[in-house]
Amino acid sequence: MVKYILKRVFYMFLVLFIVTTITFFLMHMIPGDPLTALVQKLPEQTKINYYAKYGLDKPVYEQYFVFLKGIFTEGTLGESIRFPGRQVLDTIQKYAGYSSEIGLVAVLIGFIIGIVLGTVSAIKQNKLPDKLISIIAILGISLPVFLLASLFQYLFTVKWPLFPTLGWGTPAHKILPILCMSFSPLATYTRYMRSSVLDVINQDYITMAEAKGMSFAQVVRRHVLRNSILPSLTILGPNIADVFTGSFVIESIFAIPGLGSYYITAVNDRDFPMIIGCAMFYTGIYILSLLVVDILYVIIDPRIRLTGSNSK
Amino acid sequence: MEYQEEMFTIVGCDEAASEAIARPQTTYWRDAWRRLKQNKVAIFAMIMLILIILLSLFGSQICGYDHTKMSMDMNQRPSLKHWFGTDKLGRDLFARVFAGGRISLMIGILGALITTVFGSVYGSISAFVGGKVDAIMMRIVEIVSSIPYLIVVIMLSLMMNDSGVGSILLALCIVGWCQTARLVRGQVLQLVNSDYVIAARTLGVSNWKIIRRHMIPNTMSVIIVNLTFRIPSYIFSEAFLSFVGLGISSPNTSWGMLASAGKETMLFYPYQMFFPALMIALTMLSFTLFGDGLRDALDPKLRR
Amino acid sequence: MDRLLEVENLHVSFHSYAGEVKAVRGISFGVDKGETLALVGESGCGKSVTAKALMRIFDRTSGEIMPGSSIRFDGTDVMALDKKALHAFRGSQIGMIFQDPMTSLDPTMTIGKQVGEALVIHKGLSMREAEKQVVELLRMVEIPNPEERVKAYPHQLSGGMRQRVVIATALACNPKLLIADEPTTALDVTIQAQVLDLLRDLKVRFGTAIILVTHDLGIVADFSDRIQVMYAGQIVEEGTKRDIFKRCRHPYTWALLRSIPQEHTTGTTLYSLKGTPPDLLMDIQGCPFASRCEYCMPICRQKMPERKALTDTHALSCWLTHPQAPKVECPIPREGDEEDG
Repeated sequence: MVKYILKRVFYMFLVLFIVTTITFFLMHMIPGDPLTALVQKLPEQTKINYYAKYGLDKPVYEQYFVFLKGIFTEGTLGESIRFPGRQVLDTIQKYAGYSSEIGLVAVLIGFIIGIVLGTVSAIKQNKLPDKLISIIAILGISLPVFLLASLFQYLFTVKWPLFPTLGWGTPAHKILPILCMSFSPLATYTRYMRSSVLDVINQDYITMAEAKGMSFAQVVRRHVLRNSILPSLTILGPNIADVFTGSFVIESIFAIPGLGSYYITAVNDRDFPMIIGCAMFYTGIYILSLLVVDILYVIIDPRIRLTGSNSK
Repeated sequence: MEYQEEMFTIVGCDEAASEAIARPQTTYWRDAWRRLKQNKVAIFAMIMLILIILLSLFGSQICGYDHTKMSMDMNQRPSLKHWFGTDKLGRDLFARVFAGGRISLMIGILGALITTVFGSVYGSISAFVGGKVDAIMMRIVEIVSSIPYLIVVIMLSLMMNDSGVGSILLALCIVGWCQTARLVRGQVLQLVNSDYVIAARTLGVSNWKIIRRHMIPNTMSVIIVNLTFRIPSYIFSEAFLSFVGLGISSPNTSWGMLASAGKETMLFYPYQMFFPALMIALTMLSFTLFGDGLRDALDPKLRR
Repeated sequence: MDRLLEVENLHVSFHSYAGEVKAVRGISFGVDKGETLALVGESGCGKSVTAKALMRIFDRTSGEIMPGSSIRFDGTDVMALDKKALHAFRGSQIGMIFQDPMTSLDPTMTIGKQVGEALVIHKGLSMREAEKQVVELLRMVEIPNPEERVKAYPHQLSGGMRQRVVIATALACNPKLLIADEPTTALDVTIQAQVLDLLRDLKVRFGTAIILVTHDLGIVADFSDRIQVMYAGQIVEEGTKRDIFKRCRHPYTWALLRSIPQEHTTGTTLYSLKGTPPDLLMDIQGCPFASRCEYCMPICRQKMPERKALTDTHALSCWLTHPQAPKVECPIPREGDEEDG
């Protein structure tokens, strides 16, 4: 187990390195630089001074080494160009916190409700509850989150002003964004759970558990849930990561000062250090959540033996 | 009780009758089609999709407006003259929605096709060749798929600055094929090790014939279903990117762009947001429902 | 002997989209205390469904025990039990062993917990108390190192060991009846003998009645007291072991017996029964075996033969027993007669 985790962590850093490198070079191939994005016309001399200050006059590979050196010697991701004086790391820390307050809560709510609804749906297969839940689930996966958010915002802040429109601060500000963001994971988990529960309740060991004299509720609690939650767990990792990457829309629609909207701003401003920092953060979170889920998988399903290889 | 004597002469078993198969035999695809036809929801979704595709192809001919032509009728509500109303430049929204549909659907269908074909070929090769090649090919998949796809898409679409259909397609495809490759590899591996393929091998059936007779029919259903589910996810991705301003740009238009434009005027002219949003949702819904139906119809496990 | 189980007119149907599959078509039988009854037949003849019906195990699925069926077990009317009583009944009165030990244990739970569940439910023990008894149960089914094995997961055990775990689970609460649904089919031949020996041993020790469901007449021969031959959801012939092996009269039973390889058949082609059983979706007119029967007569295709008792123990449903029917000799050489059945 320890060996497996160590190997995975090593692997994680490898991927992180590759992504960072690719992002770095891709970023510099984007037409435009921080200065042109900021202001159109500047005296030639100011431009030169400016480029020199941020090392943008050097060849790309040299900038890359400077960047790597910064990480390894000082543990810094550099300073924002757009907002001089702001450390990239601090900025990420601050804004990622806001994002996770919405995103993580949304995924967890979606996960829990999805598991419950999916199970109910499977147990009541082809009956009324199943049909209702299926409708909710199919709506959830076919309504893009940005449309849902716009719709909710229109309905609940304009038509019936139950919630504050925009901004951040009070718990009331969080309700609508969380609701919107949890809808799609909820639908996904419901569908996954429904099909895997249907699969599991036809297994012999479920019949055997019933033959022992367990009530169906007991069978579901003790045997069905545990066995059918595995497929849903597999997508939990990517889903958590999607929360961070996919949150820009929600954040921009509800004007939440999260990392997502910050990232888009950084991309539009060509704020190179910020872009790299965010990309590294996102990738890190993504791989980390994949790892956590893999470990959870092993805990739940004893059949998976860890041989130290990455292939399951 | 007395019976007629001839009732008790032994006639023996009627082999034809005992071997006769009581139910009509059907081929796999015909059987699947029959099952699909029984699924009203899937058929409804299919009709819906055909309708949306036809409208997208002939939208501007039907309403008689060009989607780029501006007029003095600005921000008109839906009426008999302009079925979906007009936008702030006086362009007919019906024409615009279905012109946008052309791009959205194209990206969705082409993107799904390209990634599915590439992923299937990649996955099959990996599984078929096996050994070191398989290990290396799968390692590549693992690395590519550990990169959050939105990051790649955003970087790529920025890099190729022209914001045309091509660059978005490329950006979506570069990361999208991994999932299909994994899926197909798993399926092929399972087949290669299945008893009937081993049996065919032992009997000396040629590789090509095994591929044609066993591999393709048995992986096809998985691939087709995967394709159907990919289309809405690409339509979503395109809409999403365009919505945040990283996708298609003017003068081209797509549902995402229209929705994004509509969002700005939502408070005053909600219909400008409503129609493109409705189309996105309807299309995704129809593809998902159709995909569900297709999966149930093609799943041999449910066949009886 | 005391009657333990009395089944009358049992009908079980499955509702599929193609229609109603009548899997069991009105069968009646009984089991005495401590007796071993074998249900024999081809796959799909309804023997497993019958076994499951005794505990009403498929209430939740598409299967339905049709009205008019009666199951009485040791004074209780099983059909009348409400949910709660039914749960208390299953496992404590009747234990069940399943065909495939690879799939009948929950892969995510230790075997100790799985065996213990029955004790927790019926005896109100805590999991910890139950675990002690589980060790004893595992010892009883001859699992080596039971103290360690309680913590093992199913995938860590061999097929034979898993089947012993399943048997331990079924016997955990000392049921009066044990239903063994093809208990050895999925096992290696060498393991089969061990598991059968174990079952026979336990039967003697605890006086448990057993219903053995199998398609393998070889197992039946030295294991059971009485045999019922099933075909297409009906019992076609029933009798003591001796009745069936030595004096059987039904052509289907003959066919079954003739397809067992025997010493004197060495070198000749083994008999095989042609054709397939009827589709249970359809209504069957006449005798269900008619289309495959070598002795089929016109009457067989028109009317279902009635059950006819030859002796107290031996009965069958076949037109050949009708007085008007021609006399037919059993096609099996009776040279094994000296060896006692």
